Amino acid sequence: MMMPQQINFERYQRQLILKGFGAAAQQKLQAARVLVIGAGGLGCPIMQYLVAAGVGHIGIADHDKVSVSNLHRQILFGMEDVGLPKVEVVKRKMHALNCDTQVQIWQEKWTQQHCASHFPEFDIIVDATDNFASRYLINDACVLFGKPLVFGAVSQFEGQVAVFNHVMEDGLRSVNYRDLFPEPPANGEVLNCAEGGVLGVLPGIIGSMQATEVIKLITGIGSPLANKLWNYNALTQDVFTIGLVAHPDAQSKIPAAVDAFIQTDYEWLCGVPSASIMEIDATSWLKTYHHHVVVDVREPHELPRLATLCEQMEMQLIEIPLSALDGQLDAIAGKDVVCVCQAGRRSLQAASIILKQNFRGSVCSLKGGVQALVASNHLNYE
Amino acid sequence: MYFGQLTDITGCSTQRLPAVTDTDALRQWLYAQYPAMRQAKFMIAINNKLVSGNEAIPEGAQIAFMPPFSGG
Repeated sequence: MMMPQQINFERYQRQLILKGFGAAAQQKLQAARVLVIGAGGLGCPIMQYLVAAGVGHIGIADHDKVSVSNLHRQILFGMEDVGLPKVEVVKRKMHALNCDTQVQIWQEKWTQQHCASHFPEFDIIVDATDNFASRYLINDACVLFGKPLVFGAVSQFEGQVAVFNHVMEDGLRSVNYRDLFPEPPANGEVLNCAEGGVLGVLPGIIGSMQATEVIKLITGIGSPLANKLWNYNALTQDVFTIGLVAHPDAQSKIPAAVDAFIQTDYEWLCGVPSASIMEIDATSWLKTYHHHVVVDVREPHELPRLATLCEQMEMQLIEIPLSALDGQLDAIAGKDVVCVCQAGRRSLQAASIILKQNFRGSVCSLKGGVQALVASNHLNYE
Repeated sequence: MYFGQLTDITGCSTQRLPAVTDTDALRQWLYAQYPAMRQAKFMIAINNKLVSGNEAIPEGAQIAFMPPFSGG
């Protein structure tokens, strides 16, 4: 039998006195090993609460560096951290928060090999990533390696939380992400944060919910969000929980063995830009492709608009939101076009819709979208 | 009830739907009403329960259309 570790009663007093918690739960937290993939909007609050609660060992993976546009929602980071690797900042700040927690970091993009090497070392996996390729990769690996997965995701003003692949009382595992959406969406079918935006406080709420589920799983208190999907809307404060059931196609979509898993190209599954669509940057657009018709596929409320820039450059501008593009293809038939959106993802989807319609002109997509124009000072918010 | 960016397509978050017998018929109605829904990925829940195949829709049921979110 493992020797119970000593508990810092002063530090954890407020949770130790909770009904059903006590020293036994605190010892489980100290013995627990949790892997958080992604140190962004979700990952930061998850780690902060887990480290503060006294989880003994936390792994954190993120290949990114802190950027200024992270700071409105990733409030663990400050101006002095901009440009530094996220995991290094996290390690330093988590040590300051609670030096009893061991923090293990990977400043790398998380891959199948990482899952195969390190999932067996952890009790619980937490998905705090920001893209579908990583989400499907982590989900499939949790099924293959038999690990519970605490899932969280945000979009604009809404968020989702669930506990996947958890061993239930009947011994069966709860459903996983493939039961909700057996196949990943194609690139551009769903917006990411850069494209769609996100209210800064939202990942704080959703990440805190994920941390709650991790603590419940470790200590055994309450009932986890297994076979349930919890939805939250910050604009209305509405919460909507749906019961999940297994999808008949889900199991067949998950690689059956580790070898097949390692060979699966998740980025390809989640859609790579078509070769026949030309992705151009802001400078070459304004220099070389200014005779193309500009098709702004954003919704009317998205800023800054392109009208002034197009007027100055004497470019023809057509505004058709992606959601209405199918019905208005006649407006651009036979023309050379540059599709533009907020971050360059919806414009790729628009370009592929236009190409599918036996379109004879040249079809480009502005890489990085309006955000790239702003970053390169071709456009401002005024 | 429409969730996430599906509301950009429908222009509303709740709506009274015509009486349809099952989820296949419901999808057909939705695609006719909002052609852009054909390009959108979403799941359907009837009375707070996920539907995986074609399922009958009881009268007065509450239907939720929910897209996947990727952000973090």
